[in-house]
Amino acid sequence: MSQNGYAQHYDYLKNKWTDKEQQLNKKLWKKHKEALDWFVHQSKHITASSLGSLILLTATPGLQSATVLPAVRQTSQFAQIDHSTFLISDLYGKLPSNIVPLSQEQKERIAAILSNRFGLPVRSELQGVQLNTNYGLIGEEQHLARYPGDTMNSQLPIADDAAKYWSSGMAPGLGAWGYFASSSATMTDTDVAREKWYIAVQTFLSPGYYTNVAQYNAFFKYRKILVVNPQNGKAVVSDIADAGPSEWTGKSLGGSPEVMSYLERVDGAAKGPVLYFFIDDPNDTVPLGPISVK
Amino acid sequence: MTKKIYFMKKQFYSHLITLEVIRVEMNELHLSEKEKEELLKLAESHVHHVMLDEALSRIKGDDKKIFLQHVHLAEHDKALALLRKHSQNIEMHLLHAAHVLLEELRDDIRELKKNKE
Repeated sequence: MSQNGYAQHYDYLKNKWTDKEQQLNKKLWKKHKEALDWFVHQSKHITASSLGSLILLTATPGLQSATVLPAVRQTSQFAQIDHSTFLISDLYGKLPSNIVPLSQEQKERIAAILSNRFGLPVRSELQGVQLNTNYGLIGEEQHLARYPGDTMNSQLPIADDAAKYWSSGMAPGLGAWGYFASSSATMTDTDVAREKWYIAVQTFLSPGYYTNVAQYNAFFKYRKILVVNPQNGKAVVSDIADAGPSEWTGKSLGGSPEVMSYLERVDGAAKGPVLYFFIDDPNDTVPLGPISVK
Repeated sequence: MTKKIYFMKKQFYSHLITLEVIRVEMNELHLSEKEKEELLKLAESHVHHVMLDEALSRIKGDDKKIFLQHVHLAEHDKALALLRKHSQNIEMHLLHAAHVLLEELRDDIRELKKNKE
């Protein structure tokens, strides 16, 4: 094809997409006229003549108006993007539209995606044990006492952490496995991390749980779980340190204040959907805490 | 780990959508870099319209106006938090709308490629 042919490609796309842009603009204003009209009229800096381009990006040649929104006026650019975006794309279309337990096929497909993206052996079933669900609403839990006499002061000695997490308070009871350490003096870094990044899982709803409670509890104790917010790609390696929440809450699991904060699941209701799967880590080499897509 | 790609300006949906598929699809058309950039900006405008439409369609009452203020002030986190209040799975809805749009744009490019062959 000649250079003219290539020029035609540009012209063809430019004309077609400019027309499309105008159609999208008209549709937007037709559907949301009241809110957009209000927005224009309450701004002293936007003139009536710019109504048509108010919400437009400045992409269209000739529409480089000085009155477009600052939020959309900056120039596009090549930039660095975190790979969590690719995880979000991977998961898109593979999760049910409602928050319901995943089918076996969905579990396997998602476990494969998570294994690949995080470089970990992620499993929906481990040693013959499954969770009651791998996709559910998470709610915020309180801090757990790590040893007899543990207080909020001792849990949050750093001012920044105290400012962020103090308000969550400390649970009146102990976690499902009791104290993490017998005393402050014997508490290890592992104990600290286990409390900090703990989750509460409905272990009691796990299939087969009541056939051998002691064996199941031994399996679940501090079992590592990958918890992923599918809406932003953020993920944490957590450990099971408590059982709950109750079924009537409508939630499937709970997260420590630190888990919830990192996953950005602290919205108005402090709950939202997450994916959570076992990590097969027999040699205990995967550290607890935030983990990024490889 | 990061990868160099064409990235749209920061918006409340920026963490969900890239125009990389469009840029890659354009490669075989032998457009100049400047032409590609202009077309990508048009595509970006399409995305912005569709995202605003999808978002405003999910928000009820006066929160639409608050949302527009957040967008205007580039308060992306607040805009997204407001959206989540109205629609728990808003990211999925935004992704779906963007997916449909980007497929249309890819079809436009593929049509040209066919003619080229």
